[in-house]
Amino acid sequence: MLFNSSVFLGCFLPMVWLGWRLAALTGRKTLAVGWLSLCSLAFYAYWNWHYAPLLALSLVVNFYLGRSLIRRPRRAFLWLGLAWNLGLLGYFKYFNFFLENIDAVTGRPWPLHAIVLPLGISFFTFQKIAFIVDAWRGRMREVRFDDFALFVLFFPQLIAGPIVHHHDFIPQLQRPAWLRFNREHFARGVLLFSAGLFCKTVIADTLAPTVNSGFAFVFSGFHLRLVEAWCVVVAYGLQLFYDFAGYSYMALGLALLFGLVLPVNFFGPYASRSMIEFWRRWHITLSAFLRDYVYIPLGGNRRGLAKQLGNVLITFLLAGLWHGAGWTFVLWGLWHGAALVINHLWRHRRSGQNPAPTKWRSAGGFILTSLAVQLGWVLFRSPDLRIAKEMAVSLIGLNGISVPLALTPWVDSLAPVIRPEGWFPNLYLTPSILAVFFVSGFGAVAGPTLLRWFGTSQADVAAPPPIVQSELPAQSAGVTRPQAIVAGMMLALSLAALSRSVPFLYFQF
Amino acid sequence: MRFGSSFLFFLVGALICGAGITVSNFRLQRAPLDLYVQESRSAKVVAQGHAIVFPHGMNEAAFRWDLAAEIPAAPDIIVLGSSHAQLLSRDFFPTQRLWNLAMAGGSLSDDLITFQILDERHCHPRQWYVFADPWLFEEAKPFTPNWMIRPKALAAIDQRLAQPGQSGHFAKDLADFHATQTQAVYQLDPVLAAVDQVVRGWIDRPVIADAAVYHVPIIRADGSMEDQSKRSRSTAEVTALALRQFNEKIDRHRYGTFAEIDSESVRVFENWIRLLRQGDAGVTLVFAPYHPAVYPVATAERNNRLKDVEAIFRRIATDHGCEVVGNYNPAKAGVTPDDFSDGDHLKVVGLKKLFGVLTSQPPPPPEVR
Repeated sequence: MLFNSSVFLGCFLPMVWLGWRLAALTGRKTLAVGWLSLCSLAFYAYWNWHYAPLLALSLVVNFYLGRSLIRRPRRAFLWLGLAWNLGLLGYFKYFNFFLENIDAVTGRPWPLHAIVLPLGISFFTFQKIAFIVDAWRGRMREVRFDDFALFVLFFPQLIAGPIVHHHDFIPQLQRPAWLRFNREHFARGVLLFSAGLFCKTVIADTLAPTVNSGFAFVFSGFHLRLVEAWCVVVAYGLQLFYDFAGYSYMALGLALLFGLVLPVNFFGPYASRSMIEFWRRWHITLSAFLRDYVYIPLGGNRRGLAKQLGNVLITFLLAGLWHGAGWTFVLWGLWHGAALVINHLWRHRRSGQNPAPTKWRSAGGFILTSLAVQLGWVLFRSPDLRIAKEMAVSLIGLNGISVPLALTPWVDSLAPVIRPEGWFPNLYLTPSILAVFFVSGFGAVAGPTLLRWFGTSQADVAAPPPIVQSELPAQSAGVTRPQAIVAGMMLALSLAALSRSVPFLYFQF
Repeated sequence: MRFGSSFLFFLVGALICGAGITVSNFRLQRAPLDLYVQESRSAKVVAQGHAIVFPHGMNEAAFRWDLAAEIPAAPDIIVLGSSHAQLLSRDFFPTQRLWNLAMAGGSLSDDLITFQILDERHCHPRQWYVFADPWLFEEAKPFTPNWMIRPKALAAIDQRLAQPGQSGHFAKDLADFHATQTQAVYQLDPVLAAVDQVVRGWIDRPVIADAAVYHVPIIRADGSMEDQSKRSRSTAEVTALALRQFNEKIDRHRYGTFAEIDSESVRVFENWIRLLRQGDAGVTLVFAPYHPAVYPVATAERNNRLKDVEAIFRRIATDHGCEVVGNYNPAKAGVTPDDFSDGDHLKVVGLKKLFGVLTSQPPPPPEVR
């Protein structure tokens, strides 16, 4: 079930919310938690009911392993828990990739398994691993089964995050105030959900045909020209951001409707002036997980610069693999790892100098970061390395430059380098899409972040958080009139755009 | 602001915006904008005898139908079909007034609409060249439903071709289309499409290309296409491109691979040929051959219908006294890899060979199974 579907908006959400309020009115927390857990399981089963028992079984196994580790931290149980979670992820996500590579190396064809990737497995596997590891580290107290079940299953974050940490979630269920109707939370929830739906259906889904037409064109064996290749890559960067950030805003908004607060996942990432800053703003909960459960256990920055840089590369190699079983994702992870290594080296070199960045240095940092991030999306979006290479060739202009038709008499002699075919001869790009492209691009880079404008977070865009951390939406004094009107307009526009809506991009991960 | 006031203003915002979208949708349904300004401008210029640079992003079906509505009456030859036919120009028939109305991806419904527009104008040629593409008989309709641009024309010709007392072949599609049109009063896309057309109306102007040979696709003054850029591909590049396009399974119907031949489409096509033949007009069915590297692998594929479809077309040609040009099989059509620009498109030199086959040798006998 998609958040941007009529069945979710018209049926599932009102029904679940009313059921939750009725359960809360009885004052029995177990009833409210049980209702939300069951509804969340139904939400998951609506996609493919065959995988609901797998999710439930995994939930039970993790709960009992975690409880055993809380009572008596035994290394064997830790390894068992990790093996169980990574084994499931490995089989469903990486088994066929592994076989394909064995084929390629040995030249012997191995029959591939008909495996359907369970929705959200990458996300909920990380949540459970964090739970198991923290239980072993002694950072957890006894957890009730129903609380743990809702932590794993809670439908706003089940499919595509944010990757909620048990420390952030389970204590909220134990507050007596949770069962009381909180007007502030509810109003902010509606605002955030409307904003998220707008980002997804009006912005991301409008840009999707342009991106798809560009990659399909290259896939068919043709070449994009310079300007249109950049347009496709930047449009994909915007589509991915508004799609995933939109989903995250919706998840935050939905959770607030149920009196729960989820961590912020995106905070103006395209305004970043360094790669380090980018990963503090983009998919913040994944960065936090990788920092706490991969980078720091590997040694972090404690054993010298060379070791630190190696740890960064390993962490981002895993980040790439987490996103998908394919060499394009591996290379994407390494690309970001390499960019971060360069960034750390630069910082190390300038460590004794004035830390306040000048205007020019900020602008340079912004341009270099944007370039690295956008070029990385070529690997992320391409179905294989051939397409990625073709796109790269177009991006540096080796497949020609197209200019407007009206210039034909003057530039025709410059063919095949400059061709008068229009700016975007091979793309599906209408004036309205172009307008959305520029406005959303400006909004992503220079506009106030939606969360801040809606008063959901007080963090300052200009001064990024010093360390990677999830931010909880801040409390503020009521919803203002412009916020309410704009959110209402966003909802109306989103509902009008529902008919052409497509699944979220991050569902495939 | 209090909770109640917040929701009041939220609702006001939603209602204002929602009302704007609804009213716009209603107005667009009652008085549709001309969604194809650029296409009709281009058609007028071509009909006046000018070549233009092909504007990417132009809806080609809308352009071809506007051109059909503009061309001078009583042409000698009209060409219908798909991109396979688009290079066929007056150069092939120097003494004849030829108009090429073939469109990329042209389907059976597209051909029928073009005919209907011409017929309503009593614009009948002495000779029709109809490219017999295999997907004309595919049950699933593979291409963009262009007919939605001219549903009335499709309804009219569909009724003419229907069996007495029965609804037409496209009646269900048309009914579904009209139902969607009347239900969709709350959608963003029609509003955006209208805005797009207004903007395109301001900025898009045809670029005349009479004087020089350009390296971009040109629509010539007879509606045929010219693309110099494709001429530069070497034979090896073309063969590699042909095989890659085929192996990557893009546009399978292009190669005649599809689940079933639709007998109803065959019947409609046959009735249409009967209409074309009225008034003693000649009809020539043209088979565009496939690249020699592609044809054997395509026909060896499961569910490939090329040979069956060709046999049906040849049977119809025989029954209705039509001439036949070409063959899907490149060996029988007398073309070589040098004659192709990709897996299923001939260069001008290849097309000339194909029509040379007609003048120098009799067409091969029909392959009736």
